[in-house]
Amino acid sequence: MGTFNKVVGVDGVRRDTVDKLTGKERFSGDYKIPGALALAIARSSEAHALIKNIDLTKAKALPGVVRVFTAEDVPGENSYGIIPITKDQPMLAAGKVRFKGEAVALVAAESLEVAREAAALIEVEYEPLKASFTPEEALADGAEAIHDKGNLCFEHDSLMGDPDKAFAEAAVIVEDTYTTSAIEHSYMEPESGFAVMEDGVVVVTVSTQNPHYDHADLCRLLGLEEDKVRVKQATTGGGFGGKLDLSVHSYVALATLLTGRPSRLAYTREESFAASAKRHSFTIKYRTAADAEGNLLAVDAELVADTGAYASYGVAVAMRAAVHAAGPYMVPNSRVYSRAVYTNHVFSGAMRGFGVPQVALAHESQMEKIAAKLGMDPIELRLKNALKPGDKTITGQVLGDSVGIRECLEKIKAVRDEWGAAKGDDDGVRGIGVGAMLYGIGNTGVSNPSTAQIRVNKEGGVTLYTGCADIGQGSDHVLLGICAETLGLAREDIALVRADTMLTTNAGATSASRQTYISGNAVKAAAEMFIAKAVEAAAKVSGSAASELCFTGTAVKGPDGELSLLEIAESLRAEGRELEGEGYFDPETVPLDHHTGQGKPYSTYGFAAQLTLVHVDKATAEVRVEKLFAVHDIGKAIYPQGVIGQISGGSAMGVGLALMEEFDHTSDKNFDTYLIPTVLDVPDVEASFIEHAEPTGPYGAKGVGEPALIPTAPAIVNAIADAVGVRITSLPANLERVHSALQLMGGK
Amino acid sequence: MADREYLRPSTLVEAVELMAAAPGRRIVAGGTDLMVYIREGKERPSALVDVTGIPELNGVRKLDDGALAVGAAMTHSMIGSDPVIQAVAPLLSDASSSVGAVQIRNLATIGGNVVNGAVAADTLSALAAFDAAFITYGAEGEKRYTIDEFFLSPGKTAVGAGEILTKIILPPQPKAAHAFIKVARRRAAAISRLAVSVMANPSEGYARIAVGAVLPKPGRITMAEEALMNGFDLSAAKAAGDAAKAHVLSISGERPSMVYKLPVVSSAVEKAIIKALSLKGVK
Ligand SMILES: Cc1cc2nc3c(=O)[nH]c(=O)nc-3n(C[C@H](O)[C@H](O)[C@H](O)COP(=O)(O)OP(=O)(O)OC[C@H]3O[C@@H](n4cnc5c(N)ncnc54)[C@H](O)[C@@H]3O)c2cc1C
Repeated sequence: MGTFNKVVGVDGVRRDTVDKLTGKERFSGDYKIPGALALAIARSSEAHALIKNIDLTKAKALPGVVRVFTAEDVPGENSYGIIPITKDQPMLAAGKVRFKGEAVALVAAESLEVAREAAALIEVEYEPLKASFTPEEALADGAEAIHDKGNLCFEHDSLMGDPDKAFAEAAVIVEDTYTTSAIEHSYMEPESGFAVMEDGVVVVTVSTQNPHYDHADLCRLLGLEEDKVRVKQATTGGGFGGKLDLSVHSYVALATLLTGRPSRLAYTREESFAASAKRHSFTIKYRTAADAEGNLLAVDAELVADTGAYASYGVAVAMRAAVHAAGPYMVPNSRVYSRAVYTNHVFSGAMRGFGVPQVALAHESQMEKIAAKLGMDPIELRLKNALKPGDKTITGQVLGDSVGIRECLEKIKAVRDEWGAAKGDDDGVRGIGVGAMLYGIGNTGVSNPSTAQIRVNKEGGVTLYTGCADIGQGSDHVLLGICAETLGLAREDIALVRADTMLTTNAGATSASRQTYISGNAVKAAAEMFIAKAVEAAAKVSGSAASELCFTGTAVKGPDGELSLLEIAESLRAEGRELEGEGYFDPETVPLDHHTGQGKPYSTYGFAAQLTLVHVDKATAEVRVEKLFAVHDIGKAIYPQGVIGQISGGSAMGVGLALMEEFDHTSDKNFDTYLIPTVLDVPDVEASFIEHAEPTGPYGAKGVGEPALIPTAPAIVNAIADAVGVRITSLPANLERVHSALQLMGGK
Repeated sequence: MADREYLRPSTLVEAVELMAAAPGRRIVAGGTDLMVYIREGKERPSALVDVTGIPELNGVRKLDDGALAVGAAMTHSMIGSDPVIQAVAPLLSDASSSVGAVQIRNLATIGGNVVNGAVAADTLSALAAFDAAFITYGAEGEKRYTIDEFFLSPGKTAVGAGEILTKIILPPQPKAAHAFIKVARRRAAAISRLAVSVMANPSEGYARIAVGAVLPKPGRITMAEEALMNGFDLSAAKAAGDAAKAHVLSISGERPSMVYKLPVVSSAVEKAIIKALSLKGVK
């Protein structure tokens, strides 16, 4: 079989680069849609209130307004959400609003100006309810229930061994409380899409990370059969988890279904800020026990996440945070209690790392505190406790072969030695910090398969069909690379049909760092089946034994000459069969036990460690990250430049998480006040990777999208602590917090 | 955004006439403040009168008395790279170079920065250190304002509607070392939490100190300058920082944002003096 190994692991210009740089690539907002209705949404001015009345009179009377919709117009079930047990979000508020900015009514008009003017004319009469803006307020006695089931959205328990006994016997115990901020994804392209009716089907073209989920919930909201809705992913300008929820989709679909006319909607940046998911802010109470030699004995952690007004991915975030609470270390005894709590903030959802960047701040700060107490080198302490193949995680999972954390830490240590001691200068002090992590690839403890097909096309070449949404991270290039490698072709030889619910089957969400591993496996399986089928059919036609035949990518060669793929396809068609390879892959998982949290949440994990050098200005408390070295165990780099790109971009996001990003729900309307790092705030990231091949991965690959970000903030915070001698436990480590740390500074 | 007329006069007289011809017209230069206000709905001008093409507003000129006249329509990029300004008023070059990011500096003008009058505008502390004067042209002809007359309160200047700022005058100063420090939450496109401008020449007993973003209007802090008169050394630098802090406290009081800003006024002024004079042995 054709394994030439000339595509996987090889760099080159990514297939979408030139079109994106030259502006040829079209995003959903770039399409001309003749006759499209413009849409605008009237949003709630209240954080928590009953809707007493909605007066549409003035809006409807405005010339150019075609129709105004409220919850009563939603034909199906007016509730959606990615997680089946928490479909609690209406597309248009029904009787009650739960956050400021929630959609209350939708206007369709002949122009955008008219639609917006009409939306402003909608008069809503509210009866305000007591609002809760922190999990503490929401869980307090007498808090107003945000949902019928109360304000506890989800809780998760995890228990292993006997933590109480371990704490009683420990030589060292360290504890602290850590908090992290809400964060806006800040993708370059705000939410955008359009809908048209085609032969009785509502066709929605939209910026999304998850077309097949979108399709299912659109059918539910609209009360339509599966074949009456089609979702096509438009070229997507970033997502980071924020485009896993429905946004404009349901509004364009509803307007087009009920008027029969095309419609379009793009959020303004202000709308995107007000109405799209945020990263969960966390409060983490954390205790760690170790023996006198620095062996970790136990962790006891309590995690509380503000999930905002609707669940979105809250369940997944609370659960994943719990599973990862101990970090990449062997900890024999553990207790973790994790909760997602409803508040009257805009909903929190998925964001790069799903709660793991938050817990990483805690476990990596704790490691430093233990090292300090025992007088140990912080990297040595980590090495001593780092997971190895065959070790058990805190969910009782026995790890397989691909566990590269030790090697990552060894590399970090060597680089630290190269850097030498951090020396201050006239302006301030310097420090070096480490962050390490593990990250489970794929969804937590549930089946999350991907599928793919490869077929011969009319030209006699092959076409890859995948439901996987490329949101800019480069999955198209990776999946084509795997396909090409397996078929013995070049990427350019393969046509791609991607993320269209009518033409492709479900690949699951582009999230959880899962597409290279899971969809990559599905594509590889499809390619292998394609080859087997072609060879089997060619054997039949030529009368040769299959073992004498060789698949060349474009034909099957035998002792008596070769048969083209078209010829093989024809021979199969005569039998009523097709020359098609179908691939399926579902990572092996065991659901987590409801009481103990034990199980096998993921079939494999990525690992990483990062090292930073920071400078803290003694006069002004400004922090400059001067160096950042990152090393990630990714299994195998299918497209090495893509891996380096992910690590560099993820680290930049990590700098934001560490130093400046903090979404203020009352005042942050756009990038005027919500600051994310610029290129001047991020050092040249020295990104590198190691390849501990994952036996179940396609060519050994795992994932890197989220791991890229996770160690960065802990490494920076640890470097600040090294420089200043005072630990910051609340993110972001902004001017004010660093300044108070400097004032407490004992001097160094 | 609604359609509106965009007018581009080529002389001062024409500009003043255009401004007077209809109500609600606004002067625009780079538009980097005004367009933001328009988008936010805080400003709804009937027409925009672009003054950047008027010769009097462009270029730098050395006047007979040694003062420098800086055209109000000069962009921050120009000011940052102009050889004359770099030689005579490097403090202002540095201040302009700290504004926003390259894209902003290529459009934004010093005139807009000054007339917009934001407390955190980055050129104001430098202009205060120079005791700059401001020349305008309007229906009543040319006017000259001192810096104290020009800035009234946060966001408010003495420039009336239809009055055009043409030049900023930097009176001659002794040859001096300088330092400009901007403190912000990130390294580009961020509003100053604090800015410090220092010019000093020990042999002439000359010192100018001003701070930005913490006072309602720009001005020199003479108490801090006097602290340097006892000697240009580390302890004097510290004393000057403390004096600046006392001055800011006496005017701006103890607001929540001051918990960070007040101590940093003192340490940043100290740092700027040390930096300007390359004093050694810090820590
Ligand atoms: C992303 C971003 C970042 C920024 N960062 C900074 C920063 O770091 N530091 C900083 O100080 N500022 C910053 N600003 C604000 C702004 O760029 C500056 O204040 C700039 O100097 C304004 O100049 P302009 O030419 O764009 O003014 P405009 O917006 O054109 O005008 C501003 C005001 O001045 C009036 N005006 C302009 N010229 C004249 C004139 N000659 N005579 C009379 N009236 C006049 C206008 O009518 C208007 O009221 C930033 C702005 C943005 C959008």
